[in-house]
Amino acid sequence: MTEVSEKNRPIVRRAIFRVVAAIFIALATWGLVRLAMTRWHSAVAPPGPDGSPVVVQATVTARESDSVVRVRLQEGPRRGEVLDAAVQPHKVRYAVPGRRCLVRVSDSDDGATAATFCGPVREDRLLALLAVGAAVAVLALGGAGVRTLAVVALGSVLVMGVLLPLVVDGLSPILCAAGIAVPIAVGGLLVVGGVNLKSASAVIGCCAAVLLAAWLPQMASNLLALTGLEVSFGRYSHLDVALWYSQGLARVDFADLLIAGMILSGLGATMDVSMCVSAAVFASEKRDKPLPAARLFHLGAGVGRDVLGMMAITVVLAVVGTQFDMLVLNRLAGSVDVMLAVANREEVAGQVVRVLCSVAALGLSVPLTACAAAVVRSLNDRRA
Amino acid sequence: MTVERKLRATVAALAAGVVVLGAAAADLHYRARLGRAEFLTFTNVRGERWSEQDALAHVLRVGRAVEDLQDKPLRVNPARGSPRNRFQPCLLRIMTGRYRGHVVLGRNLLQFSPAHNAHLRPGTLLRVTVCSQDEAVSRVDILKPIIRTPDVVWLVAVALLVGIAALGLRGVALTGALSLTGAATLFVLLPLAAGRLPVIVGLAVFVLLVAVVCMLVGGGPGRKTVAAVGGAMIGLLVGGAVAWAMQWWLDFSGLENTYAVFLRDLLGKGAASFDFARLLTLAAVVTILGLTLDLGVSVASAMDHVAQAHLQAEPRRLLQVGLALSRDITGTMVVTLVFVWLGVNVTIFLLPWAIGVTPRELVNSEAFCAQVVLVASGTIGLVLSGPATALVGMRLLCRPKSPIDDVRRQSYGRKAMWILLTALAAIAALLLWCGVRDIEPAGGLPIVWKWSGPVAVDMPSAEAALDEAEDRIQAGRLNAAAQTLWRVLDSDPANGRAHRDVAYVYAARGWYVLAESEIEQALPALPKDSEAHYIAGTVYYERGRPDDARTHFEKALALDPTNAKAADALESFFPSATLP
Repeated sequence: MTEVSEKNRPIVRRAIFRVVAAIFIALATWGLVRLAMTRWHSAVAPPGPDGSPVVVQATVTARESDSVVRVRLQEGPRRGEVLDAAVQPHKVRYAVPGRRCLVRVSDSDDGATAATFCGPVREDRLLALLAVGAAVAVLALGGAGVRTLAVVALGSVLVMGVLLPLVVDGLSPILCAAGIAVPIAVGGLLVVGGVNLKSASAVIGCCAAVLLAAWLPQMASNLLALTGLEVSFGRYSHLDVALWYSQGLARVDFADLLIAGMILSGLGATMDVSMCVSAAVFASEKRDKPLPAARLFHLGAGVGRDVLGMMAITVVLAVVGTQFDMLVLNRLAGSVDVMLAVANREEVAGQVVRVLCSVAALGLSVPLTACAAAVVRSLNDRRA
Repeated sequence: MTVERKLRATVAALAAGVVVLGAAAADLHYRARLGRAEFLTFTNVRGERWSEQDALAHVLRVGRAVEDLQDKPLRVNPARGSPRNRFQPCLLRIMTGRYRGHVVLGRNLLQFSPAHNAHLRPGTLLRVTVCSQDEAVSRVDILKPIIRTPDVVWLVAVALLVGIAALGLRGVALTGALSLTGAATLFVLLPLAAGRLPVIVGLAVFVLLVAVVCMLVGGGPGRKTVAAVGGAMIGLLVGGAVAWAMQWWLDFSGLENTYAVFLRDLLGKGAASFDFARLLTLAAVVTILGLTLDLGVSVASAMDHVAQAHLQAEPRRLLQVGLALSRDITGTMVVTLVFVWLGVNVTIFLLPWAIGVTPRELVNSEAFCAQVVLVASGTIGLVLSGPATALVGMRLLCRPKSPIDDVRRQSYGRKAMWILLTALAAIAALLLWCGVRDIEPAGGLPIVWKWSGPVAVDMPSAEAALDEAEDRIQAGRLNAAAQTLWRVLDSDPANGRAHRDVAYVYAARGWYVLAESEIEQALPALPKDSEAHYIAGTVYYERGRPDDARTHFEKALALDPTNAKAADALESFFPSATLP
């Protein structure tokens, strides 16, 4: 009995450490994401003339009619003030007394205050979900989970904090995407695989593949006349005019932004395949005589070809999943023929090109990484 | 070449042939469907008869877009170029319907944002409405957007062919797996999701699909496959359950979606019972389906290898191997999922600039929350499917230590195999049922499109061609005339006579913006041409420039006092004018 307890002690200790780490990571995720949201909000939506925020949290106190609710403000200099807010018909279901909501407050020239009901507050629950997700990743994967979260955070920060501001300032989205793809790949592969020759080879193969595959979406975009403006979000449809004529986005090249998104979409899968190929080359048995580079290349390429198929299916399903509601609701409207007709729409044609771009990057990453890893390893073996 | 190599090459060639045939069939089916439009005849109150038919058309060539300078600017945004409407002439060959083979002149209106416009270039496929009077085409209206489906189909086919050429038999297997995934999505997932079946049935079907693809990729049914399916199933169920719980906790209506609103309006009461919110759960499952499958197969394969290499391996040792591998793989898969999502939604993050919502409103909106829930629930499901596969694999893949264990294990294996085969049969039946349900009633033979090649016109000289074009104008064959005139302008862009005649053709069609552009290019080359001044007068009058119009009518008469058309125009448009 004592022996068993002794044997299990490190496991129990590790489990306790992992639980503590998971709680810490969950709290850190909560705090960092909230900070990022606040920063984003203050950068894009500056406060009103009197310093009060434009959109504030409030509580519904009473429903006056189907189009008006009474709310008590919970934030800002006007905290505690009670206002009547106008509600759009599709948001009436959320206007329940006692429920927290967002309200847009504006003052007219004659000093009157107008309020509009924006919808329920969901951000806290969303943050809770993200925190739980991070905690589960740490609990299940341990150190690998922490490293994964670090890569995701690095990618998100680079996209939100570097790519988008530069694109809004008028820089080429393709160049920006290529520019941030390299640090994401370098950071991600070094964090996941450690600082060693294996990771370095994977970085070379991954970056080369992503950059070389970028020509495909450009060609396809030209062929299919993709504009990047055919965007709908929530209840907002035909956002093309709003995007095209927005003063703040006057210098954004939306067609190139679409291609930039395609480059980013394939990045994660390409990193995965590159690391897999590189690991296979470096994991092959060491013998007295170093293996020739050609042999190592064939070994890596073989492993890469094995994983390529599954990864391609993975990317297809991931893209289908993100657009699932659109596909299902179009299917609901008609038969399979309608689905063929749906491919005519820019949104769907764009998704097809996105998948092809990702698969092309995956396909290129196999020989490129195998080549890089074979050369690096054979040089290293000779030196040793 | 060995027999095996020959066999492999034959299989690859056959697969390539199937891909090409499939793409051709989809292309022809789509074109035939579009070209199956009715020929309608109308009579107006004055007794004039005209006909209309929608048809497919192929762009032969595109002219320079001309800006309507007198048009009121639509919006002021200098960074986006001119905010005025533009008109772009183009030559079209009609490919379906009664006027198939006719080459006609069309006008493309370019307005608002690029997303609203048809971007034409030679070879572009379009839908047009052909209006005709007395069997002659009188007008062609271009319908937007352009047709992309055939290009999309062939792009996919080329990608698959490249895959087969590069990977050989593995490429064939990949093509098969992708085709199966596509077919299953189209014929099983979407009909089920669009139907009124509960979520649990949808989830069950997804899991069965996992089994099929596992067998295709992993080399047939077996304990390894069962372990992979089991692990993936647990991941999918957890991911789906998290998405379902979040949709309830975040109070999603499922109607904060353009398509859902459109459908609700379209179907009316029929849509009332449709649970739009459950689509999120199904989307979460589809998103991680491939990832969990990949993870499950990798972990189960590694555990099987270890079990085969070390026949007496302890279950705990196998579990450790599985957990270690899942830790290594899952991280990069989560990164894959997050980057796919970031790439798809990169434009969405720009919306606060475009539609005036604050980032806080955007983050709290149902559409944004649904996207985050999709990724977060997918991640949770994915992260748990690795350890789940390791646990299932530990139970199934551990080698026997005695003959009794071996018999028991074989019995488990047989049972698992039967379950999988039954599931396969169920999927096949479902596919058949969905496929039969989707067959359209016979509606006559489809019109098969035939490529008849570019128009070949012999042109001995520019002057002869212009004479021929003017004869055609006299005969009222404006489309044919325009075709010839455009060819003259190809070889001699400064030819004043050609510009003048093109201006006449455009004016006759009522396209005064384009006609104005052409006649302004003709006048410097033909300052003493009475006909050019007459056309200029007509065009300027229609464009609201009466003073310029009068000046040109008077010039036309001064240059040629016998120009009866100019005299008539001056008299009718400007009754007070004194004829020279």
